[in-house]
Amino acid sequence: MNSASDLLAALGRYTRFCLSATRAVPFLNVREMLHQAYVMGVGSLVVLLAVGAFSGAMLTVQGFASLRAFGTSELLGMFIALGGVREVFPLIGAGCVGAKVGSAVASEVATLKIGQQIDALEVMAVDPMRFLVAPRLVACIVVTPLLVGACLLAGLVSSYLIATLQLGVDQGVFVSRLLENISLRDLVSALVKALGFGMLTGTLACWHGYAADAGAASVGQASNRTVVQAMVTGGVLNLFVSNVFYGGLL
Amino acid sequence: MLDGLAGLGAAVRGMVASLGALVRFVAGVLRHGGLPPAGELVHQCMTLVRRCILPVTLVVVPMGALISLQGAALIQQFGVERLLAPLVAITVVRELAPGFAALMVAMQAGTALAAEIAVMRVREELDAYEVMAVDPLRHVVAPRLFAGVLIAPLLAVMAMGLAIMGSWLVAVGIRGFSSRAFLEGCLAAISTWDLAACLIKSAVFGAVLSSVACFEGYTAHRSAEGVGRASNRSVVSAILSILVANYVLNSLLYVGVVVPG
Repeated sequence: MNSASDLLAALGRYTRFCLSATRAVPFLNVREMLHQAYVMGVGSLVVLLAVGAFSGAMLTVQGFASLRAFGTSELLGMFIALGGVREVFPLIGAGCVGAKVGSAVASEVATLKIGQQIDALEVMAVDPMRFLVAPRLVACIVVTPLLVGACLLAGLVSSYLIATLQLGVDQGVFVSRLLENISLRDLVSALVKALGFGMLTGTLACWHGYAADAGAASVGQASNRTVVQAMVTGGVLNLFVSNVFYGGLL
Repeated sequence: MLDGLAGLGAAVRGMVASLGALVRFVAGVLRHGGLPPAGELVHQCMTLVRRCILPVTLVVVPMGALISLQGAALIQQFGVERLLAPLVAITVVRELAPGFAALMVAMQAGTALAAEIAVMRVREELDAYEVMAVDPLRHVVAPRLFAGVLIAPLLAVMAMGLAIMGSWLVAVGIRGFSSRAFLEGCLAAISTWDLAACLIKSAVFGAVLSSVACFEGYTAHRSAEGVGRASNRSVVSAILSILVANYVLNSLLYVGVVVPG
């Protein structure tokens, strides 16, 4: 009972935080936003490319092993298109952005908070929402789709390389099966997922960072909670977006 | 362009260097620390389970539902409904359960472990252990390291059941598949070898993520910022190393590292 009311209270605080952050978005500090977007994008690009490459490799090997049992390994391209492009690459890419960018933003804001630098901003009549939170939020929403796109591309390239070089699948068959099964709908669905994920990551990171009270331990706690909650809510969001785009649930 | 390449080169060099430091750290823990004290090991295992059980559940059930959703759409298109259960079971046992259980443990417990050890560093607790001639590698790091190896397979088995439950809910409750046929199909599709491979994979993932987390925490800088950076770096490197390990293990366990032609 107690934990249920705690949960509701936290949800209320989070909603209020999101509302005041959204109100600050039109007045955000553009320079700071661009700077944050640059730092997040450039800082995470290599990680996202590596994550995409290895999840593509993982998926290709696994798909090959399963399809070979049915004697249909020429369907591998279709498997990558349906499994990888629709679900695995956007999900793992977004989860990784949540982990990399989310925990960095959360611990940065939390460090500022416990160093009383947010209070200092307020004393100087600088609105921390406009200067600190809104730029990070918008940067996160802008950068997540770009990073997820990079992850997706890296995943496709690595599937192609693994399929042709390691597994010896015919490259013409692989590419044509792959391309004929990717539609605009898949890309739009990935974009929607990435935008939603960016929104969740940005708001959760700033909120948890802002809620840090005292001591080094609360910095770690902020980053921990951000990463986990972004992944959990993102997983549920992913299910709903997939349902909207591909039907089948209701 | 050249700047970009130089940056990439520096990043790769940094990764290799920290990989070397990580291996040396783990070797040091195994050599000097040895087997952890049993009481502390049990305590760490319980903590890990308590921390991770909810996040793993919350992530894995929607994933199971998702496989059923996408799989059913695909399979009804080909008119081979009876293949849904094997598809779900194989995906869950081979990839989803070990992979996402480890991912969530890395996100939840990995960041917490790194931050916890880093906070001990900030508060000079690790130095206090050394002053008292208690080896922190044996009493702080080793129990956490071994707990990861022991608990990740346990959570993967739990994730397996939960994910199949999630896909059962969609397949039977919404798509109208027969419950009996679905469950029998799942059981028939899972071989002992698949289960063994799932346990091996998740034990390796557990070892990887807990050593990364302990390493980042132990080598953290003594400041609040250092704590944040330790937990950030630990989750990112853990995810990346889990994916790399997954690819290597998949090649070894399922394909047998063939390079045909």
